[in-house]
Amino acid sequence: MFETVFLILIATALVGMLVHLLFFGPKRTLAETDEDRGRTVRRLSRLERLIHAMLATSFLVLAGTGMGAMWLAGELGGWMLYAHVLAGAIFAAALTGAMIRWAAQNVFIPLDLLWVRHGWGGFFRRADRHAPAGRFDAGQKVLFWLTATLGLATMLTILLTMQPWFGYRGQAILIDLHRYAGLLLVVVVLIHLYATLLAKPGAWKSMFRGRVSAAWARSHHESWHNEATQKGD
Amino acid sequence: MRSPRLGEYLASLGGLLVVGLTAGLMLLHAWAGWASPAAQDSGSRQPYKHILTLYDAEGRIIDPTAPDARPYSPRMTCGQCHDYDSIAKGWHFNAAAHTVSVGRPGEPWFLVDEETGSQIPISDRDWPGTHTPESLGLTPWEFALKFGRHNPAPAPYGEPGDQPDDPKARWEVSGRLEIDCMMCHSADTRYDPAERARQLQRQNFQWIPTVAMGLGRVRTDVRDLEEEDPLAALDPAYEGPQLPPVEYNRNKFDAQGRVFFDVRSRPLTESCYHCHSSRQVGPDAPVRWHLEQDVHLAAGMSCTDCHRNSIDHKIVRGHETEAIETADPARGTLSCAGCHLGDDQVDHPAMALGGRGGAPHPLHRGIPPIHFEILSCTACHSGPWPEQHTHPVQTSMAHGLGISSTDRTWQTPPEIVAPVMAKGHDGKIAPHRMAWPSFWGWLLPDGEVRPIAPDQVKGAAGPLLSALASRADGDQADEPPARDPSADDQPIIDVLEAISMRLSAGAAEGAVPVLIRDGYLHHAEEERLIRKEHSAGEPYLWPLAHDVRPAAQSLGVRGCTDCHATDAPFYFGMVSTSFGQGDPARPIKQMYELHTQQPVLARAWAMAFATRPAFQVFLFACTLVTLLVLVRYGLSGLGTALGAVADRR
Repeated sequence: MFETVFLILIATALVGMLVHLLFFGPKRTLAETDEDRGRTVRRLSRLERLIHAMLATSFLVLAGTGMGAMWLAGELGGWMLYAHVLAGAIFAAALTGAMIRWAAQNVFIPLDLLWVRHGWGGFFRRADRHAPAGRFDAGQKVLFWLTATLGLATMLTILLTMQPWFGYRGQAILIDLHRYAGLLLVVVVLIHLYATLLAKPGAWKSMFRGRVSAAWARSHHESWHNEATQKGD
Repeated sequence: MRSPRLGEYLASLGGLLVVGLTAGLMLLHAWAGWASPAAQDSGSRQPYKHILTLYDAEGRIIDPTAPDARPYSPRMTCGQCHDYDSIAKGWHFNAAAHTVSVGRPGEPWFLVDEETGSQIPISDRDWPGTHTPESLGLTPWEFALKFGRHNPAPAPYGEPGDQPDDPKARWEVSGRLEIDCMMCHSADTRYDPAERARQLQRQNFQWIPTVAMGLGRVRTDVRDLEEEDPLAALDPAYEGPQLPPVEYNRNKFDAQGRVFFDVRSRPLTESCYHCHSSRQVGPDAPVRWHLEQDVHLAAGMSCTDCHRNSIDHKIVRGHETEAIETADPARGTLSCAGCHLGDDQVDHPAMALGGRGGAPHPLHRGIPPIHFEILSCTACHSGPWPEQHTHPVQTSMAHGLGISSTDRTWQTPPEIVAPVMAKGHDGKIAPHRMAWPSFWGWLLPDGEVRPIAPDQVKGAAGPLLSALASRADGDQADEPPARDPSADDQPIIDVLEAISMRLSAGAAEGAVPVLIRDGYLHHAEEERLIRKEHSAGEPYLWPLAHDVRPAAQSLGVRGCTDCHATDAPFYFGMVSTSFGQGDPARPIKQMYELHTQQPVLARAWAMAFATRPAFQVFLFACTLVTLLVLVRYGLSGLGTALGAVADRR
């Protein structure tokens, strides 16, 4: 059952992204102005990059070992279980850090409504027209809160299995909830990856360098670009 | 008008035809009845009173007062109502028939010879690691004499098989070794299995059911007829020693010459124990009153409450994969999980729900489900509580428990140890009993090792074997395969050379004599003893299911560290031979090796559990913070949304 749902969801997500790429294409960065030339804007601090790297790495291990157990080993045991547990601890720490650091910046504001009305920031419009957005656009905020909710579900279910409160069937339900939450998280992360690497090219640079080109910032997060420029970031 | 003569003739012919047809039909009916006796059934839950006329092996009614009275035959007596041939296909009797799935490996017979140091697991069931009696030259006659004490099987062990003529066999005078129904079905425990063993050694095979039940006695032994031509005893004119007549105990017979058999259709636990007993032995063995019996027995159940069968005697073995192996889902409902958890694969709703025999549904609170995927129920619930070293164990089948002996000490071979936590045939870790094979054999060019019968080894090596007994080997288990020759190795090399010289004519071309011992294969090469790992040296393991401990004594009841700790026997217990404990020459493994786990992982996993409480606190903190942030901004977002709706209004 879970394997079937897994295949359907992942296939749907991948096909959806492919269709989006073919019909709407990537949201390209606007041409550099003279003012933008050679200038970069700091998008992620060192701490934020660390949190993001921890989240990304641990999630890859968690998803890899979880899927490996399902498709290769048939059960989560041995080295895969060990890696899953270790990565789980890192993921929990990173998610908590992400919540503390980014939750306030992911609160929806009226500008997000405008961004959504603008064809989800122009992602569902063929023309290269951008909608103004803050540091995080409404799409990123949706993904953030989904990640938070699903991440919480995976942590809470495992925490509950460690308590002597649930019997055999209760434990099985908790593990199922854990797996389905993890699966949805995989879909969310796939969308996040697609948006970062293909739909909004150039965003990935901030993961490593912490900075993005001023043109990119102005194109995709105009309001935040203006604020950052004023602050001198 | 017809002549009266013709009329009379026709009438006579018609009469003859009627008589002939009637006789033919009667014969046909009799033949059909003989070929397939219909099982009789009272249809009541009340046990049927078995007040029976006794029949001898030829089907003649027994007169207990006759001076030459023959022993009663279960085949002919019980077979009057019960289909003996169908029963003979049941689990206890069909090992050599090769008609059923061999299923989960079980306890084999052990061919033991102290002089050659042989300890060879043998079975006809093709369990991996066992050898067939035939491959070791054991004829049905020899097998019956060696193992008939605890083996209720008839053909081919109870009578001549398809093997070459056995000059030692004396079936003509000993009679058949029939299935002895009362060995299991005696309700008053009058049946004496030790007497069965005694009569077996006296070669009084066909007298066993009569004497073991106390129905009569025999004063002479078939084995005493050895000096004479045994067939001569069958000749009425023969004046030498006669086949032993039975002196029946006439008090057992009623006025009509019938005997009351106190029969239980479901055998008593005590009857099962004759063949299925085991005990821990050795200097550290607990005294008997310190031990608990199986929790099911303590609750008033008996073996046959779970190990059920119908008249076909296809007894439920009770393990979880049995339903798949036999394509009979109902069998799964009598496994541990089937009774205690239910089995969705069964159509019958009551069976699917579990609770058979009043089995309680376990809660298993706080135990992650992975445990149920990789462990059998018995891993936590059965057998002795695991300790740092395995214990030597003796069993009925291997050591003849149930038959009093002054020769049996705790060091009597075969060497069997328990409990060994190892991966079973279904891939789940379960407690097992274990024995290391030890024998001289031939390494064939295809890599297979074929054991040599101990008697053949003795014939070839003779006095050279005595030097082996004092062998004091200082090898380490993890030593490299190639070794320098030493005085300790020389006796083995000598025996291997003697086997090569004297027995190679009967061996396959290119076969090399080897010794399987201490978990390794040894062979001589240029005056040196070479030791290698080989599958033939792997230990033979069979799962143990009993005694089941109460839930309060299950592994894990004190927490995860019952198993997940760096000193937990479940992972790090030492598996040695019974008598070689602490002797570096004897094979030693750690339990995790038998779980097929890597040592680093086993240690890392165990060490991780030292930090588990801290991990729980950490995870709780992370979850709480994440939850609070979500609630905080969730409520805030809800407030904003409601405010926006209000503004719009």
